[in-house]
Amino acid sequence: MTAAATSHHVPEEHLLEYVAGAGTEAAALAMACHLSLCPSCAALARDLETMGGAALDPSRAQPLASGTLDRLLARLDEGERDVASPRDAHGAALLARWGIPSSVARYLPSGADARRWRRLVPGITRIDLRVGPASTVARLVTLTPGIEIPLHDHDGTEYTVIFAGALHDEEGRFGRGDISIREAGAAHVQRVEKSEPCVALVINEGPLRPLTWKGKALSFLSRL
Amino acid sequence: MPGRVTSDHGDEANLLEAVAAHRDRAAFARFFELFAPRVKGQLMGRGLSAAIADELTQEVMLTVWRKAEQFDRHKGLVSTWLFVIARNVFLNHHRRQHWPEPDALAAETTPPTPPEALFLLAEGEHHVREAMRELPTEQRETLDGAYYRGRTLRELSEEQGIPLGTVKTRVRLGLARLREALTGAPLGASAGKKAQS
Repeated sequence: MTAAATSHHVPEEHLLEYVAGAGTEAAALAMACHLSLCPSCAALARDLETMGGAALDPSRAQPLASGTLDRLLARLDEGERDVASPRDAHGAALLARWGIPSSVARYLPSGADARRWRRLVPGITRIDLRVGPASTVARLVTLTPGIEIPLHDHDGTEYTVIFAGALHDEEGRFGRGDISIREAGAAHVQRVEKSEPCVALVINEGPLRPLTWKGKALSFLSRL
Repeated sequence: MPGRVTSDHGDEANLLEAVAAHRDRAAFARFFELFAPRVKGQLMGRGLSAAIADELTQEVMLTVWRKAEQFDRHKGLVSTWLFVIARNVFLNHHRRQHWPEPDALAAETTPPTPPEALFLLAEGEHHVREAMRELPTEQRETLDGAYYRGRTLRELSEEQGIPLGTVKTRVRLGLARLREALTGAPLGASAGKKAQS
């Protein structure tokens, strides 16, 4: 369970995009989940933020329109109503039970019913998350020990972050905290480790393209 | 020089702490004068007009006013804290995106940064700025594209008409230089760095 055991990390250029606020919110969610569980990448991200702070460079400062500070000072009192989002105890408990970072909380569907694990295909249950844009599919999944996810490819990048159990593909074993980033065109088969169910966040930024009949069946069923 | 750099950071941190502790408007005004023009410069770098950058800079500074008590001088620099706030405000207001942030790692995995490391970090920031200016043009422009203009590497490769692999190489080389400038001081400012797999 220790976070220090993560062995698949975020390439530095993806971390840079995350820190700089480039790319999609869905990719950022995958990064935030990995960073919540991986001290070494979290330390790298902090360095990148420090470099970003250095990029707030006095030599590129732009003067503000005159009177801006006065207008702002007049707004300070109005400003105390920081709208705290209502606490979602149910969502927090759900995430805690599966060891999922709380960054996921705001993307959970609302209502207890939508938050039940539903069968996607035999051996896989899922809770759909709400992360835009519409072409992005973001899900929490549980995978039965020992099953295989057939050969498939993607039209967009696929991000997987593991919270429990483990997945294997030709790049090795992915356990708690590990992240896998697959660009479009990198077809792969994944196998779930036999010892325990695997819980993961899976984000596809484009439609899945199954490459075998088993995969096609999976893809058909997953649209139901 | 090092003394100047750190006492600057101490002064900046004092301003935020005065805002947090006594809602000190004079300290806030001073903080605004120091940082608001830098924030605006970066927002304009992200492609905003001067008028919209003015508006968003106000939002950033309002957030500073409201969240000043969350700043902790023992965890990092004022400029780092402000950079993250400015990024989030930009994404929120301009792109209607929330930017998920990681959970704080369990206390035992993130030891508090010792004072001398912060001292070196403040110096390091200064060195990073210098190193940034001395980078080969193509590396500087690439890192600028990310940090200043908020572009993805794919967008940069399309913009500049060069392969994605080349952009990645430039990023890695450039970041290695900056990291050296940041942590080149005797004591590494960040613990637990690891080669990327």
